[in-house]
Amino acid sequence: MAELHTTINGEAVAADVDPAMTLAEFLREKLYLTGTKIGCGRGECGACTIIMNGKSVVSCLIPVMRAEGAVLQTIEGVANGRKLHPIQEEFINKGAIQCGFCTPGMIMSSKALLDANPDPTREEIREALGGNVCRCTGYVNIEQAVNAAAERMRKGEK
Amino acid sequence: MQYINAASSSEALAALLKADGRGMVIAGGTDVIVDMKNGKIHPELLIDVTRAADMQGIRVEDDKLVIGAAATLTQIARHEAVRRFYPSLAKGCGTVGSLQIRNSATLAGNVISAQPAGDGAMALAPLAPVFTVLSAAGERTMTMGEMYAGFARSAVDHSRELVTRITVPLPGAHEAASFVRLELRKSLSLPMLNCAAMVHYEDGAVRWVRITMAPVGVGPVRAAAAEAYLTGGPLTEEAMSRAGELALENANPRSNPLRGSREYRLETLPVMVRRALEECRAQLV
Amino acid sequence: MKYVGQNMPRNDGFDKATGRGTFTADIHLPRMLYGKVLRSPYAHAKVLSIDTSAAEALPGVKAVCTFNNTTNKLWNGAAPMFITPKPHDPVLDQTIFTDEPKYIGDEVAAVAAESEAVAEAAVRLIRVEWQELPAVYDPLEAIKPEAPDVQPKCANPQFKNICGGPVELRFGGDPREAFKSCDAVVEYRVKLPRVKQAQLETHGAVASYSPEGKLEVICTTQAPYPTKMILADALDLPVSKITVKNGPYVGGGFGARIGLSGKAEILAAVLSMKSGRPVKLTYTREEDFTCSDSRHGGYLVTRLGAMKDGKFVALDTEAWMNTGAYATFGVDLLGVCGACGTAGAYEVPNFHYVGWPVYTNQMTAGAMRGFGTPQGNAVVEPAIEMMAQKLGIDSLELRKMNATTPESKNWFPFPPGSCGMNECLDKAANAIDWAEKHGQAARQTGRIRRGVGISGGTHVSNAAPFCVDYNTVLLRIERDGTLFVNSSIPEIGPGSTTACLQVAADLTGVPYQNAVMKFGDTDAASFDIGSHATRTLYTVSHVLAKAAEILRRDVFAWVGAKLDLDPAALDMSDGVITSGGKEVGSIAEVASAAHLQGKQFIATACNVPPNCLPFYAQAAEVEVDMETGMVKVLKVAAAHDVGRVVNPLLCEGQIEGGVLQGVGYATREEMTYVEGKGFYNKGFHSYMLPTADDRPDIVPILVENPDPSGVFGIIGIGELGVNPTLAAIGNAVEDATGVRFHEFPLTPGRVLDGLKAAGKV
Repeated sequence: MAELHTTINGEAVAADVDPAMTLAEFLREKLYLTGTKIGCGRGECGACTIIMNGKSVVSCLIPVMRAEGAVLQTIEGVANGRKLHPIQEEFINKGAIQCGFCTPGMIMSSKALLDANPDPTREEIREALGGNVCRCTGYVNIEQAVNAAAERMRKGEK
Repeated sequence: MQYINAASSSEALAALLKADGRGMVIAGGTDVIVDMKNGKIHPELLIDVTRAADMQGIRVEDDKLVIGAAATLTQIARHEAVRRFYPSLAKGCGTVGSLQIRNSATLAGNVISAQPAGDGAMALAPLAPVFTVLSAAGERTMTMGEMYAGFARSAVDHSRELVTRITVPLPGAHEAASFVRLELRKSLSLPMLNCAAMVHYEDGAVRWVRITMAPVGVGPVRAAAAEAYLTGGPLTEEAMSRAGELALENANPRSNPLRGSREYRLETLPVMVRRALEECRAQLV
Repeated sequence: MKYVGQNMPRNDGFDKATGRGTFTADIHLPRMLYGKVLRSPYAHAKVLSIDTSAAEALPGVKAVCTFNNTTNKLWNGAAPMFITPKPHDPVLDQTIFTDEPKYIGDEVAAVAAESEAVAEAAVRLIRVEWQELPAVYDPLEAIKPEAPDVQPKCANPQFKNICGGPVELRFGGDPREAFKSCDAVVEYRVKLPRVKQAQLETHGAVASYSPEGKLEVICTTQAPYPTKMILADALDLPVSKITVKNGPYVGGGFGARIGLSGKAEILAAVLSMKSGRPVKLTYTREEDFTCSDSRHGGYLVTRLGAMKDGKFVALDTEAWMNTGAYATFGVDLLGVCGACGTAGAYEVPNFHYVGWPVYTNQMTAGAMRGFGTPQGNAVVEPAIEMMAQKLGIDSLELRKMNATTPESKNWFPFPPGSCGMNECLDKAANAIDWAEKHGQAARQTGRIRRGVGISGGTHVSNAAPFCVDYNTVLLRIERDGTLFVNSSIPEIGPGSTTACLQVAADLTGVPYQNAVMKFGDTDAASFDIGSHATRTLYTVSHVLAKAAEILRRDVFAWVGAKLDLDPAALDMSDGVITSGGKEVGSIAEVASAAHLQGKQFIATACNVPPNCLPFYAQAAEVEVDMETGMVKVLKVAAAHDVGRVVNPLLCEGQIEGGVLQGVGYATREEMTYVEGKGFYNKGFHSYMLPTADDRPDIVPILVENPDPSGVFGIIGIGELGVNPTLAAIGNAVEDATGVRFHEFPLTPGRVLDGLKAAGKV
């Protein structure tokens, strides 16, 4: 076991962890932050995407100790209580959610993109989402949701 | 299992040597963690070099591009200097896996995983890169070809040594490089074929050309016969097509149930080699 | 209608957008164990001996189950076990564990332990002595007399390796006779791949068994009630003592789990029974890909005969589909292939189809979105193209002139419905610029060629009367006038629970706002099959209509009695009760007053739905690289007659998702079998479904020809997006290159080979 100190959704977290764990396992099984999903466990579907130090990463391939001193955002930290983030609202408004299993990862990839790049091109959106597999939506409404959220965020909405 | 976040390459080396073969270096981890999950490897110690201070960054030093071994593929693909001097390297690095993978994975790691058609490694291959390796014996350098010990086997023993940086000479005048990929899908897939080239083309003649192709053998394979044919001659459509045909002489692709039969790869390799050369030429007119 | 037709935001949106909504794998119960499975590495083998002692001795292991200590009762893990109508019987050929595995991955033993890692380690400690036996993998090989028998005890004794029996459909005259008098006859053969649902949430279950004989299972099934029935029968437990419920959410299904999710529920159950603790068993992505029902691949051939004016005269189709090692939906699917895939879209006075579900020593094939219709469509639509070329008639016009009409008589026992295919054909063709772009193959000479193709088609809006199909529902009005609906349909993604509530609000006259549906839980509602056969919205609307009528009568009787009004003059809309048009009160006031007098307004109903054929057409534009054989789909226009749209955004979402699955089916997806090793495609990295940066433009077109059989005219939509896409794309590739292909997917290797063979390159 080892001591981990990290920041998750703005909160300092200290825990004893098995270094062989992945960050996804730590989030889901130790902290019960089950919003981050496991779709494959091999980094091939993006369902486990979180934001680590501002970058989207697949948490199922991140060794938990790499989170030492890192700043993490998970889906649970995106809304502000009942107030949803524009990305979340637009995912609902634009029909970008169906079964919901890819949704947390999809939203985190979208947020990582828009936080760094407020006015992305279609290619940049597709690059950001290329590693998030969705089998339900055909990606059409997801792309529209990201565009709509980007517009709102450019106007200053958070 | 133990996990150490190394602050420098020398700290990483010290920990590695202390573990005497039972530890290994982990950078991006996108290959190492998958291998651990698949039960292929069982390290007792992982030494994380992603925050090693002397392995960070990408910079131009004298007439060389120096890429820290801990630089991520995303950092490389988006770096202003990489895009300016070697857009093909930016392209190759920007193709691996997915953005999430690239945000963790490193170019050094892509070479060390020794998959013959690793896109970052392939895009790097014809640029005459030099790998600086740190071990108990100190620092030494290795060429691209020397990095591959066999099929999917790196010559670098990551339980005893580590790559600290990759150095690439900047292109001179009349020099350009390219990278092309025959793919079933852009993201989350290895290519059916990839091919990279670099050429010095001056006064209507090829001074030198390096053509690498994969997966047609161990690691990026040089199309030696095609290179010999082109050297000294013009880069016409006819010559580039002929070079594509000659590339077959050095290629020995296997059949893959998903990514193309041997016959298909032999059929399309000349096309991809030709397209790689065309892309070089387009940058030089 | 106040709510039907509106884009009401989906009622699970908040849960799913915030990650609060739980799925099966998110469930943590006190003292929960983790299950892992020992699977056969051989396609066919006998287990000579099995020694679990080392596994049992491993610290942390709490139960080891094999065929030696669990029931060997036979069952069928999919809904046919309890929806096969008399006089037919379902094929029961599955057991929990086997001592004679019939495919690589077949379950031989399972372990429950305190962690996944310990359970995996324990599985590796189980010692098995195997005797490898001969195996067969291809359906045309499996029907040969010398082939090894896959299911010697369960296969139809009259045939070789046939599951259940051939499904034969006839209508009108014998095509073989009728071909003799046709001006033109064309024949088309096609080989289709296995493809996989690849839903994002892998199969999984958390089972808790109490020693007094009660079992609760939280799981990923898309058919909770049938699953309850199957578990009860397989485990010899009373149906009343089994609870099956979803997470409450399910991460997709696409047919993979109409019944058990692979075997997750029953494996978790027996491990829980043995250990005395709750057990969570989730399939790895590799197990999901290689050890659970896929789509049927196989061989189809059709002959189409017509007169020179274009009128279809005869259609005769035969299909040999690889149903794998176990039956599940094998027989039903071959039926739908013939009926929906070949018998419904066009008028054909001489019709015949025979479909063979063939057993092989491979992973089972079962239900996957479209359920045989994509396969039938894939053989008929190209034949129509061939006929069009032979007769010199535009293929779009050829389809339209033969399309089923509301007056058509065909194989189906119910009226076809509003039959909007021609409108769909026109709109799809328009959206793809058919007139401009079709027929340009001869004019193109470059490396990159483009073409357009089109396909029509139909399906059903549920499985009645071919299968047992019915719904029940409970409606209640809360004390404050809000509506609560109990249904055991699942929510696997389409937004059925939202759309059904919209319909419920309009049917009852109670406001949509704050209306709630409790779904996906067999304790909380009574029988419904679940998500299957494009049925949910169409059939639930019918049972809601029945229950709403009862509910309103109940409310109006009470109000009439209390206010001395004629109940027949009362109406209720959006919560406002009127008498002869004059407002007399709100449902909130009425419910509150009724409660204080010992009355709650409730209504239950049980209903067998009618049925109708949903029609559609899709048109595709493709680009082909003649040097590499690379096919890129540029655009798909998908026109679907949904009768009456309930929620346009959700409806378009169904179409878009289905179309992209169809694009993958046509161009990239296939499960490739490597003898001795199994399917090569074990994860997303080796299975080429489309990603966000590799997809065509998709244009959904909602067409509305209200169907006389549908509540408000509603027709089903769920599966349909994927049905005609492959054929449309194949036709487009022919339009671009002049080459017709007979094997899918159109991967670069196949395309380049085809172009070379045709002398195009």
